[in-house]
Amino acid sequence: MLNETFYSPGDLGQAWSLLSDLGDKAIIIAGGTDLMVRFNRHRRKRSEILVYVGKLGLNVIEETDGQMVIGACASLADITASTVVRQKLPLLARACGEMASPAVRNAATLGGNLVTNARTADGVAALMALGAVVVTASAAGETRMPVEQFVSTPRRQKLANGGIVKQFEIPCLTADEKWGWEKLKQRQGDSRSILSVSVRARMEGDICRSIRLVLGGMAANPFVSKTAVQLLEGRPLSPNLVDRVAEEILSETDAGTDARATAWYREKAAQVLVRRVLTQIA
Amino acid sequence: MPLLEIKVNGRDHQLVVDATASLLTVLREHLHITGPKVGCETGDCGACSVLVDGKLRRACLTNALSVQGADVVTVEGVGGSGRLHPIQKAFYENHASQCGFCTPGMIMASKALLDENPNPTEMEIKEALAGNLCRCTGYINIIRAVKDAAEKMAHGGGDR
Amino acid sequence: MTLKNVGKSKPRYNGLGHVTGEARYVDDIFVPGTLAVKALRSPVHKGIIRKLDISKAEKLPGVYGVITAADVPCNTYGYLTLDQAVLADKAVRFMGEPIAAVAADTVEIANEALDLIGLDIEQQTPVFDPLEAMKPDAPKVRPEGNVLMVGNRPYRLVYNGDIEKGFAQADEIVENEFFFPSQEHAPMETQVSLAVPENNSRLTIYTVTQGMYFLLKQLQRILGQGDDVSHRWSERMQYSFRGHLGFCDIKYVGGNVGGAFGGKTELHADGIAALLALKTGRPCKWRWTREEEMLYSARHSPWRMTFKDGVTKDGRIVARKVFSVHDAGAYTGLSSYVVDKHAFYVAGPYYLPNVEVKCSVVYTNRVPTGAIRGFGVTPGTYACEIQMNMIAERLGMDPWELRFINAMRNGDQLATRTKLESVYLLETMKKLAEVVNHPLDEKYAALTSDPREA
Repeated sequence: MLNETFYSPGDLGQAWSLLSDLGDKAIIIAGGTDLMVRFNRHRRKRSEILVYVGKLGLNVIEETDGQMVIGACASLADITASTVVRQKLPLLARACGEMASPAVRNAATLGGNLVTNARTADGVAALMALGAVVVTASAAGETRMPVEQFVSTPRRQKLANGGIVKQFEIPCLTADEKWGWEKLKQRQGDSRSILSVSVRARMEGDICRSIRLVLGGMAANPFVSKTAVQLLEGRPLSPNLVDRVAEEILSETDAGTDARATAWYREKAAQVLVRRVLTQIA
Repeated sequence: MPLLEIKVNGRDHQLVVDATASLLTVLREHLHITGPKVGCETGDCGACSVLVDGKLRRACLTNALSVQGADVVTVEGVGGSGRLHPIQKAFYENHASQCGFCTPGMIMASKALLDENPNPTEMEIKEALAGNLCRCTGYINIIRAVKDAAEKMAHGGGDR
Repeated sequence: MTLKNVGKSKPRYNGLGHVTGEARYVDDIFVPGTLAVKALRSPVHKGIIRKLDISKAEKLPGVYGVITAADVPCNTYGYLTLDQAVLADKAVRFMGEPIAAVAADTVEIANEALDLIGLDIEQQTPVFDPLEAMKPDAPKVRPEGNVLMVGNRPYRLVYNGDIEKGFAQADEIVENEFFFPSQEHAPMETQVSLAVPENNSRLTIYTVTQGMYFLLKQLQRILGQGDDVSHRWSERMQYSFRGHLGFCDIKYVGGNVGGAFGGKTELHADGIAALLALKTGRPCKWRWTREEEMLYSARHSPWRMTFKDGVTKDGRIVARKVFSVHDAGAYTGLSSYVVDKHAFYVAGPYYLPNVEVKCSVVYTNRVPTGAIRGFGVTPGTYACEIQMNMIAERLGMDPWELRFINAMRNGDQLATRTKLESVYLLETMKKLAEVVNHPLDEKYAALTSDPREA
């Protein structure tokens, strides 16, 4: 009989059966840095039941044969500080390190960043640029899908059967790969993105063999630019082409206006940062 | 309602709390520990900063039950037995507070920094305190206080 | 004689409390039995309340009292104009205006009680831009019209000399508009009030206010002075109360304030907390959320100022005409006072033989504006000094030298015709030049504050 309002399952099996039984009544909480804001703002008696996933051991950070596994509940602080992440996935270490503030990073997770699904989600943007795969685990087994697919899949589908986000699997940067990250923000620290530009590219001399250029904060979700792929893959990365990408990328964006910036400003700034990031990797 | 067992400033507690209660609510409303302040309840201002198992956390964003069994330290627990911690002494001597509302949070963030990095550069101090807002001082005396605290701690200084 | 403290650096007298966490702010004060207060705020900018039904909220277990305008002995208050409602009665003038308030065992129950209040407001067309609000066909923010009359003029007027004669003497006219945007104080501590009923129909209020005596006077008015309002009130009061609170009956306790900068000079939380304490007989604490603080507490008005100056080729300002518009928001508050201060000083510390300053207080359907550091002088100084630089630019002159030429001296008058006796602005500027190693032309170095020849 489930009559508690807070559960802290100790293994995945327990978690799945709890979540299946509780169905829509369950709210999964990890670091709580997004959820607690909601609870604080609307203090009411609640009928939902919290399921804390911090004791499931989903905080690994390890690399095996060029593949990095990062648990959904690994803290941003641990990810940023991890030597192996800094060496093998510097883009992720950098992006996580620029999110929020030290105290928030001690609690916040990439799993939370993914599930909250904000327009500007820096963690999601960096994971997308890196070509990360999201692993969800449920009683029915594990499913894997690229981050960009996860983001555009409806919640019921991707987290069915008591499923939770378990970990991210990310191919480490190889010697012939370059990366870039630019976060436009109002302050140096503790500042949400106005927009972000991240890139992972494999270069052969000056020829761009593959490129994942991701814009965050320029549409409903961070997205992988098709323009960059169409214009740059298989070609030398020339200033001309860089300009064209900067120009045409706006056809993919849907920038909004909020307290931090207007849509107009975001579009102008995005073009500058795209140019800057692509010039860096040339 | 769920039971929370938690240690705060060295003292063990057993409390019955709401599932959605924040650590800040538990500290202030259940335990009447008022050092951590309510500034925003969105994790943006840092006035609620505390140490949970040695790590700097936002008490307002920390679900209390999710830190079951944790060891929590607030500004009240930083010194001990009528003595000021070097950080507290440094803040006091360097005029690092005006209204004082941000001060508990600033002290906790400074402690988290100096416990890990006893000799921080000015940039490292700023980065460590990036999540703590102050509307009065303009931060200069706070940074000065942290540098002074680092020096005091290096020479075993506190209050006598 | 050695001085004990002068010339020495002393730590703050309350610094130890800050660093140990012992300093108590209003929200840190714990009184057993304290109820949590929440207010129902208008969701619309302007409207007429057609229905307000608190019956369900009152019956919710854990709710001890719900108040509306009917429960306020005297529902109008203010600083210089007594026009602001404690709880909106029929007309709502700004989004966020409190309409009802609840005291309950917990914040959660208080929030649920708010959800149970039936509110029907007929929306009307608001006006937000003061320049629009000044137009004759603009929606009326208040019945008396959207511009505060000063005597028979729709502005405060301060003038000296003859402005048109001054312009006639000018070689150049320099005209510019300035906008000084609204600012919110955003103190680290929000508005908080804890009101505790005491023996013999007295009240203790723990407050964050910067102006205890100002607000004590307002509270005394709101809570009822005289018998004409007391009978209506004591019907709905559960707490035995004689219905008349004088200064001697309210103990107003201040102490540590978590930042204010002018933003804690309004009634904000104290009035409603006090009313609920008297109604329920229980201590009542109202802590504004950060959202309420940012959206609904008084903020700096957005100022619009136009300067029209007549200047001679050699850099003398012979005529200065200023028109300023101050947005009071929905109620007067301190606006008439701030506009006076602004009017007195906006023309700057310069010798102006012909000057005319007009400042209007304009009402809009926005949160009432209030005091913030500098209080009317800051926006004026900003506009004035940029205008000076723009004059210098037009004349092809060093902006500092322009100021030497026009700086006030002893015996000069402000725009208010106050004669100044010991100005010494020029000496200060010369000393500054010395300190920063800026070479001064000898004709400026020779200037002093000695009174001008006639």
